[in-house]
Amino acid sequence: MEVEGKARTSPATAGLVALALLPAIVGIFAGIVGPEDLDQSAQDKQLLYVLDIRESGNVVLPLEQGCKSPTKPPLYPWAMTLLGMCMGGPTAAAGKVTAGLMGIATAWLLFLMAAERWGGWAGVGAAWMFTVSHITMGLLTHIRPDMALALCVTAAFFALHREEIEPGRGSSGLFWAGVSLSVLAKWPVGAIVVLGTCAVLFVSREWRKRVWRIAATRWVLLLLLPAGWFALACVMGGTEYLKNAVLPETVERALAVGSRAQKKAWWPGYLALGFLIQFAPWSVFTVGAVVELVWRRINAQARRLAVLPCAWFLTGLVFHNLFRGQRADYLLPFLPAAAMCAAWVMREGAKGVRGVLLVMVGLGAVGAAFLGIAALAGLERALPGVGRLFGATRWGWGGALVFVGAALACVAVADRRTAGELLRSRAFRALTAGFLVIHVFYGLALSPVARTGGTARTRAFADEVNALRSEGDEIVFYGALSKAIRFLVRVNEPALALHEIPWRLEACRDGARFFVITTGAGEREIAESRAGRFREVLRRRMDVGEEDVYVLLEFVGGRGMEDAT
Amino acid sequence: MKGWCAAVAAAGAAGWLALCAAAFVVAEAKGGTLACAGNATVHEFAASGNGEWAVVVLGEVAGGFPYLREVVARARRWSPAAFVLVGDAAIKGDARHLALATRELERCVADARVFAVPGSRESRSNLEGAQAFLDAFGARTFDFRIGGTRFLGVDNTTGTPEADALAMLEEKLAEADAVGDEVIVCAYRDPALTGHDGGHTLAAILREYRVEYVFTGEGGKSSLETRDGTTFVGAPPSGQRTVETDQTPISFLVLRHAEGKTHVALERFYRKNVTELEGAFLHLALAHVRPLARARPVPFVVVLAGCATYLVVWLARMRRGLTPKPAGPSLRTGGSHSEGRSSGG
Repeated sequence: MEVEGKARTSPATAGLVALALLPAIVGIFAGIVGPEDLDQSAQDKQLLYVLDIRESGNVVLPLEQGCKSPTKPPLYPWAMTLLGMCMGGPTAAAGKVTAGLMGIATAWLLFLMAAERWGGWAGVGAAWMFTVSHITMGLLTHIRPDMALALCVTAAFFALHREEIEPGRGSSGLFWAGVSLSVLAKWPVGAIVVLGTCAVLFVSREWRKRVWRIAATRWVLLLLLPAGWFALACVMGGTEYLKNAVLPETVERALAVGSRAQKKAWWPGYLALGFLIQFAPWSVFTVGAVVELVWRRINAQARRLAVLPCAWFLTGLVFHNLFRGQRADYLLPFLPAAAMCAAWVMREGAKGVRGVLLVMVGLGAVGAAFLGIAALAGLERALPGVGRLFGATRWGWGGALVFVGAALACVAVADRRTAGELLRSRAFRALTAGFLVIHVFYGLALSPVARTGGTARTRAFADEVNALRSEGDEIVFYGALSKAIRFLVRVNEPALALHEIPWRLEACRDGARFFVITTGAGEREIAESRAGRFREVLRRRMDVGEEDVYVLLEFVGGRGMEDAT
Repeated sequence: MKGWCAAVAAAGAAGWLALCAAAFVVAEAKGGTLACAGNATVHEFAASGNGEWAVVVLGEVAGGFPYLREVVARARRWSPAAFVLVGDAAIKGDARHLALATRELERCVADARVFAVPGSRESRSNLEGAQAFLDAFGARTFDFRIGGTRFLGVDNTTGTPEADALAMLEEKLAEADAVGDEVIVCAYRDPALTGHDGGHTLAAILREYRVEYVFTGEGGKSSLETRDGTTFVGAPPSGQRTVETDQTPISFLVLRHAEGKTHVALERFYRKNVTELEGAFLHLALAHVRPLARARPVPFVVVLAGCATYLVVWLARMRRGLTPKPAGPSLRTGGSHSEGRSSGG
C-alpha cells in the first residue's frame, strides 16, 4: 500500500504544524483574555479539586467543599495542579491553560495523522475543522476534563494510525497509555470508544493483525493504573462515593435514571442530529465521507486510509447515541475522526465536493450580509439570540459582517472555476477563518457571559474580601453561594446551617475576626436570628442564578454571646 | 497465559503475606475497660479558678475512628475535662469493631475522662454489641458533675429506658434540682421520638425537671431545637459518613462554661485520603485478619505457609528463567568442550 505525504521533519512541515495549530492558539488566547465564566458547566468545581489537592493532599480523591466526592476521576485536576505549581499557584488561568495545551496536543496529533495519510494540507485542514468547530472552541479553555479525554482517545488512535502507516512502528505503550488515561479522565467512555473501534476493525483480517500487534502486549498492564486508582478511591470514599458519584455519573447518566431521572432523556439518534448541527458545516463532509466509503465510488487504495477514522467516528457516534442522557460535549472524543473524514473526502472527493463548499461560502456571504445590514439598520433587537447592541459595538459588528459577507461573495465567485487542492483553496480558508472570527468575537462580546460579565463580579467581590481579611480571620458561608466564590477566597468549605453560625463563632480564636459570606436572603435570616451582632461590610450585585446579591458580614458583638435558641 | 496467571497468583500471595505481616506489627487495643472511661463511677470535676470548664461532645464516630486522634488534638485547645460520645462509636456492634475506636481513645486521651452512651449498634437488643460496650466503658449510663453542671448519660437505644433506669434518672435529676445544678442529659435518640412507657417517658421527665440541654447522636447531622424550655442539640457526626452529605466532615461540639453561661462551639475539619487509607488498613488488620488468625490458627498458618512457598518457588523459577544458559557445542571443535579436552589430554 502506498503511503502518501508522510510528514517529515523539515521547515515546510514545521510551517504547516504552526499553521495547523494557529486557530487553537488564537482560541486559547481569546479564552484566557475573554470574560470569565467559572460558574458555568461546573468549572468552579474542578478548581476546588485543585485547592483540595494542594491544601489537604487529597490526590486520589479530591473533595469539593471538603465534603463532596468528585464526579470525575482526577486526571485533569492533577494536570491543573502540576501546571499551577509552575504558574505560581492554583488559578483559573492555570486551569484554562491546561485545557488549552491539551487542545493543542489533540490538534497536533490530528494534524500528524491526517498529514501522514493524505499530505500536509490535509493535516492543516483537519486540524482547522476540528479546532474551529463550535464544540471545540467552547471547550478549548473550559476548565473541564473534556479536552483531557479527547487527547487520550486521540493518542490511542494515533498509535493505531502509526501501526497502519508503518507496520511495527506503532506504539503499544502509547495505545494503552491513551486507553488507561482516558479512564482516569472521564470514566470508561473513552476506553469503550477505542476498544469498541478495535472490535469493529477486527472484522477485517488486515486490521485484526494490526490491532493484535498493538493490543496484545504487556503494556496492557497500564490498565492497572485506573483500576488501582478506582480501588483506592472506593476505599477512601466508601459506599457513599459509589452512591453519590460513581453510579450517578456512569450508569444513571447513561440511562437517565436515579439521580438523573429529572434531567431530559433523549431518544437514540438525538446526538447524531446534534453532531450535524454542532459540527456544521463540516458535518456534511463527514457524512459524505461515510457515504463514499460505503458506496465505494473512490478507488480502493484511497478508501483504505479512511477506514480507521470512519470506524472511530461511527463507533463513537453509535455508542453515544444509545444513551438516554446525551450532551453535545460527548461528541468531542470522536470529533477529530469526523474532521479527518471530512478532510479525506475534500482531498479525494469529486467536483461535487467543491460545489458543496462553494455553496456554503455563498450561504455564509448571504447570512453575514443580512445580519450586518440588520445590525446597521438597528433591527438586531428583533433577531433572536443576537441581542441588543449599542453604539460602537453595533456599528462595528454590523460593518464587520457586511465586509465579511462581501469578502465571502468574492471568494465564492473567484473560486468557482479554480481547480487544485480544495483544502488549500481560498474558499476553505475563508470559511474556517470566518468561523474562528465568529467564535472569538462571540466569546469576547456577544455571548451571555460577555454581556453580563460572567464571574467578573464574583471575582471583584472576592478580591475585596481578600483585601479586607488578615491571616487567622475566619470566613464561613451561609446560603446558596457559588463554588466560584469559595475558590476565589480560598475557603473550600460547605455552607453552615443557621444555628451553626454562633457555634462556629464561639470556636473562633481570640483576636481573629469572623466573617460570613452570604446572599441577600441569607443576610435577612441572620439578622432575624442574631439581630445587632453582625455588620455589613460589603454588598455587591452578582446576577448569579437566583441570588443576585453577595454580602460580607463581620461579627461585631462581644464574646460570650448566648447560643441560638 | 499460564505465565500471566502465575504472576497474578504470585502478586496475590505477596500481597496477602505483606498484609498479614503489617497486621501483626500494628498494636491492638489493650482490651478490658478503657483506662480513661468514666461511666462506671460518679465523677466530680473541679472547674478552674474562675469557674470555667469545657466538655467535648462527639457524634457518630463509626468508621471515622482514625480521626479521633485529630479530634483530641484540636480539643486540647479547650483543655476539656471530659469527652462525651453520644453516637455510635463502632461500625458494627461487636467487640472487635468497638476496639478500633477505643484503641484510638486510649492512645490519645491523656488528661480527660471519656464518657459514652450506647448507640444503635450497642443497643440492648444486640447482645454482643451491648456486652462489648459494657466491657469497654464499664456501664451503659454515666453521671459526672463539673462546676455547677450535672451531666447524665441515658441509655435509650431501644426507645425507652428501662423502668429502674428511669427511676434512677429521676432521682439524680431531683438531686441536681435540689442543689440548683444545671443539667445536661446525653442520649443516643431524641427523647421526643421514643415511645410511651405507661405515660412515664423520658421526655415527660425532662419536662418535669426543666433540663437545660439534651445532646443526642442519632440522625447524623447537627440540629438545634427548643421544646418546653429544653434545648435539644443533635451532635454532628464525628467520623461517620452519611449518604446525604457524602464525605461528611468531622465535627465536634465543645460545651464551654464561662462568665456564668454555657456556650456551644463547633469545631470542624475535613477528611484526608491518607487517613481514610489508614482507617481501612486498621479495620482490615485489627477487625478481620487478626481475629481470623486467632479463631482459626491452623488454617491461617497453613495458608500463609502455602503463599510463602508458592512465592519462593515462583521467584526461583523467574530467576532460573533470567539466568543465561551455558553455551552449547562449538561448531569449530565439532564436539563438546569436555570431549575436546579429553581428546587433547
